[in-house]
This record gives sequence, structure tokens and C-alpha cells, in this order.
Amino acid sequence: MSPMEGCPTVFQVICSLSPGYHQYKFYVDGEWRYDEHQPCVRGNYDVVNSVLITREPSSMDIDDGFNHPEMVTPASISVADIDVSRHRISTFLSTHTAYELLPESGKVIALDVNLPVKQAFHILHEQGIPVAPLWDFCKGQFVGILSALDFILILRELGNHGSNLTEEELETHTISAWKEGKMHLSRQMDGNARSYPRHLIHAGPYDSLKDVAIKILQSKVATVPIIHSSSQDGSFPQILHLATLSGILKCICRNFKHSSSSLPVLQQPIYSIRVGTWVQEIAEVNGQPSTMKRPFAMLNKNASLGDALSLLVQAEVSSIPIVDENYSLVDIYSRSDITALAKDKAYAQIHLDQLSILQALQLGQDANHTYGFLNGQRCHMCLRSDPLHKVMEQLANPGVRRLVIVEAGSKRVEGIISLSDVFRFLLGV
Amino acid sequence: MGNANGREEGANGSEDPLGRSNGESCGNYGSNSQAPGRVPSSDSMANSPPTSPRRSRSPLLFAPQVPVAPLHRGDGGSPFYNQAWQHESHGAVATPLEQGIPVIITWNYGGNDVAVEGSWDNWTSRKTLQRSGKDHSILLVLPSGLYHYKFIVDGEWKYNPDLPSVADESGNVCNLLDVHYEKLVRLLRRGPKSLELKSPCLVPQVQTLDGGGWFWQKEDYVPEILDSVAEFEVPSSPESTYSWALPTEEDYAKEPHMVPPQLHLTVLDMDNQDEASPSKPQHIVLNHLFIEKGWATQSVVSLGLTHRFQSKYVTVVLYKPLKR
Repeated sequence: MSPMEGCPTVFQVICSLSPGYHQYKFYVDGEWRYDEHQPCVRGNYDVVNSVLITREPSSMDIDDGFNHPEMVTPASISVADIDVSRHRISTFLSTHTAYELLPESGKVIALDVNLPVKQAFHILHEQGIPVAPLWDFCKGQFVGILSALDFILILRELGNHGSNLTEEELETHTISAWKEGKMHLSRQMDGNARSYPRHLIHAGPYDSLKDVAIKILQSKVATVPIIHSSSQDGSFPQILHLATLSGILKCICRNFKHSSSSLPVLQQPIYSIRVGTWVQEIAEVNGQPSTMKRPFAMLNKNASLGDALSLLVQAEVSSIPIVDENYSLVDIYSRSDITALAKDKAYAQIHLDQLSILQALQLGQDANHTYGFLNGQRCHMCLRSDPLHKVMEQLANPGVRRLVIVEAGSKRVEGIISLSDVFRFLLGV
Repeated sequence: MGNANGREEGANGSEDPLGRSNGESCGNYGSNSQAPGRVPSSDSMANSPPTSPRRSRSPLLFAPQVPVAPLHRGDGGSPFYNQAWQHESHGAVATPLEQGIPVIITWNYGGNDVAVEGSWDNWTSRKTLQRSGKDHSILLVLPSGLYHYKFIVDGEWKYNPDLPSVADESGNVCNLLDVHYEKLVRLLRRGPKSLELKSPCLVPQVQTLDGGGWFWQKEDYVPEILDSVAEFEVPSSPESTYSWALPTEEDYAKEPHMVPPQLHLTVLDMDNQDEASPSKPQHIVLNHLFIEKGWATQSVVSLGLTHRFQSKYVTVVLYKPLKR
């Protein structure tokens, strides 16, 4: 490197580098040094500087698809590194139990299974909770969970068939009746009798975190209640907590926060390790495995609420980014936003197809609920170049279940990374 | 009273090797509390002056076995909560919010000048260990997690081969420290003799204590009721109470007893916030079933119950329809 003219303390050199992720270090007067003011990362050679070189995308035209160049996978990530990280996380999760997820003083809100669905809707909205376990007094057991998906299905039922139920029946339609009906419905739709879970998926406080996480991933639920029963036959159960992947992630982050070098995969940008669901164009470029066949679910902001709900159900996703004409992120509609319709009984007065998604979201924002908000923000975003540990720290915040991967500057939606994506990757499931 | 105070304070002020419970060491949670409904301590406190906030007390009498983390009291009426814990700074790297746990790091292989550096602040600061003979030790307050650290003995980087260690990619070996606050219990010093502690996790070596101090040992649960401490023998009920007759009609006609005021201090009224965890419920409200006010006229009623599960508290609110 040669000194700059007129400024003898500053040195520079021009290197031709191919696009991708590079690391570098300075050798100053016989000593290896790194520049603290530039992005740096701790790697195989102690702390090094790193730089990401990309070509400018040539146009924002949708029809062209993405002109993004292939990103060179950084040389420092290897299969062995991923395995080491997975192994360490797996060991950590196996040696810690679900008891650690319990807060010092926690609160669980449960509903009687004979409660009318309408009341349940209002309770969920007022308490600001997304799901509630269901208690059956006759059986003396927790028998299920009521979640936002149930309401979405109910609303669609009402929308589709006009109102099969009279006003009075709606008042008294209980949760248990609804659950029965839902099971019949799913059997009809499926044709072949897929074994629908009839019993509650739950875990005990002494189950390992790994078992809880795998249970959540395999049953495709968001919450697993932690239930403890002091007697052998499971009678007199006590509900302790509703465990989610976010709580488990928080345990992981807290434990490994101070020794991040033991998990090398955390330093990698999410693009290179292929975590998350990406839009079609990027997925193809990145050589995603062929399991990513589902098209990425997005909706234009002018779409109706009915479309949104149908898409949520059919695509089996928990949220849909709402974009404008340029595919820039405007907002995000999640399943749990459905409870906002309970405000002022809006659900009784609207037609699903006449309300646009943005109006529906407006209803929710008028209510002063902090659920789902972090720093006053509804959509949590990240970049494709963000390292995994940064994504994990964001996801560990309560109320944040997914991050939308956007392009810097234009906020163009590139993908979504959710808690289950991260866990599937970390556990190698 | 003033005298008694002075006497105790005086005894405290000197360098008393008996473990002091006035917050200088390791977080004296709750033991100064005189909130009613706590574990009965009136017997042992009989000769102490009442309500004196920061009054210290002699070590053996009372120490609830609760986790170290300084906990917030919901009642707000407890002036006895000792703030000293939060301003502890042994070069502490844990803020009060992170619930730091004190750990001791020792080096027993001699040397004149021993210091330690670790990943708790990303290897930026070097802390010198205090020497006593051939042993060097230091007390650190750290949030729970896994840490790497290494010793600098007379200018040379060393690790302790007896302790858990790990080698990284370049072949450097560091010691490992696993700070785990979930399963802690404060070991009550039970008498003037020295105590031997063996704890693979927190206190990395066998420690012999000559009186003094609180130390940490991994335990499976934290009972709030101390059956094992002799001072807490629950007195049996007076004989006469076992022969009461069943209530008669007249008894039912009377007004029911007043609800003890402490039972109003329930966590059920608090908003469901996920950021700040609700304060720890008072012992008095546990295992009482609460029902919503004005329930008779509504179609849905809420019932609430707070119970303890090991060292955590769970409040369950159940919404139930009322049949007409």
C-alpha cells in the first residue's frame, strides 16, 4: 500500500476482487492489525476485517427478475463448522429442561371449552394474547388450544355459507362444538383419513428443550403448553407455561452470547447458509433444494381481507408480507392480527371481500395493544447479508416471530426467515 | 432501642468474619423483610428492635433459601428491600437487570502476579486476583451463560488443567466457566466451623471456608419453606382447636370474616405485559382462589389462582361461562 498524496498517514491500495465475501488484515510495521472502524469479524485468524462486494442490480423491473449475481459462499464456512455448531446447540438443548423457559412469575390465561366462541374471541383480544389453552371441567384435563387459525376458519365459514347459524346460535356456539365441526371438516377435505391430532400436544417441565423444540417443529404448532401433573395417572394437571420457539431461542442466545466463537455458523450471513424461505428468483439462483417448491406467499396492498385469509389457510403460512407494485414491503399480515376484528365487533359488520388488508390492519392499530410491537415497529426486517446471530437475537425478542428479508434501500421483499426456519437449520431437522 | 441498634451496627461495622447479611456480600434478598405472611420469624426476632430498614442481623437466624437474583417486590410497601445489592461493584460486569451471579475463580499453582481475562467483556479487561498464600482468587458477578477465560501468571498465559477447558481452532486452550442461575441455592452457613464445598460448576475448586461469606452450590430446587432449619419448627395448634363443634345456623347468619388485607396484593390485576415480568407474588396469596368482582351479573366469570412450582410462580386465569 502506498501513502496518499498530501496525507502521509493514510495508506491505500486498489485490489480487484470478485464479488463475494472477503476477509483481510493489515500488516503494519511487522505486526498484524485490523481496522476497528471497518466491519470486522472474529474468525480463524483472530479478528479480521471483512467486506462484502456485490454488483449493482441493473434494474428494478419485475419482469426482468433479479439480476443479482451469485454470491460466493465464504470459504470459511464448511460442513464441519455447521456440524460442530449443530452438535453444540444440540448438546445444550438436551441438557436443559423446559423448566428454564418458565419466567419467575408467569401468567397463563385458559378458557373453558364450553365458552362461546364469540366470547373467547373477545377475551383473546382484550388480554392481547394469541393463543389460549382449553380446559374441560368434566374431564379435568386440558384438551386443546384455541388459536388465531380457529377464528380465521370460523370467519371464512361464515363468509362462505352466509350465516348457517342464526344470531342466537352464534352467541352460544361453543368452542367444543367448533372443534368437533373442524375435525369433520378436515376429514372431508382430506379424503383419506389423515390422523388428525385428537389429543393435546403438550410437554412436561422436565422434558429437555430439544424434545420440546422438535415437538413444536413436527406438529407444526406455535405453542406447546407445559403441563405438570403430580400424580401418576395425569390427573389434576397444572399448566405452567406456554412454550414457544422464541423462548427456547432466548435460552440459546443467553447462554452462547459470551462465547460466540464456539458456534462458528452464527457468523455466517443467512444468504449463504440458505436459511429461510426466499422468493422464487433468488431461490433459483441460490440453488435452493427442490423442497422449496411452494411459491412465496405475498399480497398486494389492495387485496381484500378475504384473499389474505384464504392464502393464510391454503399456503399454511403464519404471515403474509404486503407489498406495493414494486414488491417493496408495506406491512405484514399475520394470523394473530385476526383478533383485531373483535374490536367493536367489527367481524359482524364487515364483508371479508370488501375490506382491504390495510384497512383491517388499521383496525388493529387503533387498539392500544403492544402485542407484536417492538420499539413501535410491526414489521421486523433484516438483510440477506446479516449474520445468523443477529437474526437470532432479533427473533429472540418476544412478539417477533419472523423477519422479512428485504433489500437494503428499496425494501424489496426477498424472503422471510422465521423461528421454525432457524430451528430446523440448527437442529438439522 | 437506639442502643440495641447501635450495638448491632457496631458489631457489623467491624471486619466481622461471620457472614454479614446486610447486603455487602452476595445479595441478601428478603431477609430484612418483615412483611407479614413471610416464613415465621418472630420467634427469632424477639429481641430485635422492630422496623429498622437497614438493620443488619446476626447471621444464623434467618436466611430464606431463595435464588440470588434480586427480585422486585410488587407491594411497594416494603421499605426493607436492600438496595445495596444493586450497587455492588466488584468490577461487576452484570447490571442488576441481568441478575448476575457471583462466582469465584481461583488459581492455586503459585506465582506472584496472577490476573484473569475472559469472554465476559470480550477479553478487554484484565483483573488481578487477590493473593492469600499460594492461592489467588477473585469474585466476579456475571450473568448466566458460558464463558471462556484464561490466567496470566507472571506475564504468561496459562490455563488451569484441573478445570473444564476447551481448545479452539488455533490450538489455544481456555478454561470454561458455566454460570447457571436456574439451579442455585444459597448455602446457609450453619455454624462457626469451616465448611467444605464441592461444586463442579460454580466454585471451580474445593473451597474451605473459615467462617464468612455466602457461597453457591448447585441444587435442584429452592424450597421456600425451610423444614430443615431448626429455628423454624412450626408450633402445633393449641389442643382446644381440635375439638371445635361444627358451625350452627347462627354462625351462618353472621357476616363472613374480613378478608385479610394482604390477600388484596395479588398479581392478577396487573396488565399482561411481556416486556417486564410481573413482580413476584407475595407468599400470602398463593393457593387462594380469586373470583372476579361483580361476577354474579355476568355470563362469563374469571377465576384466578397463583401457585408455586419449584422456585417459579405461575398465575392461571380461567374464564368460565356461568349457566343461567
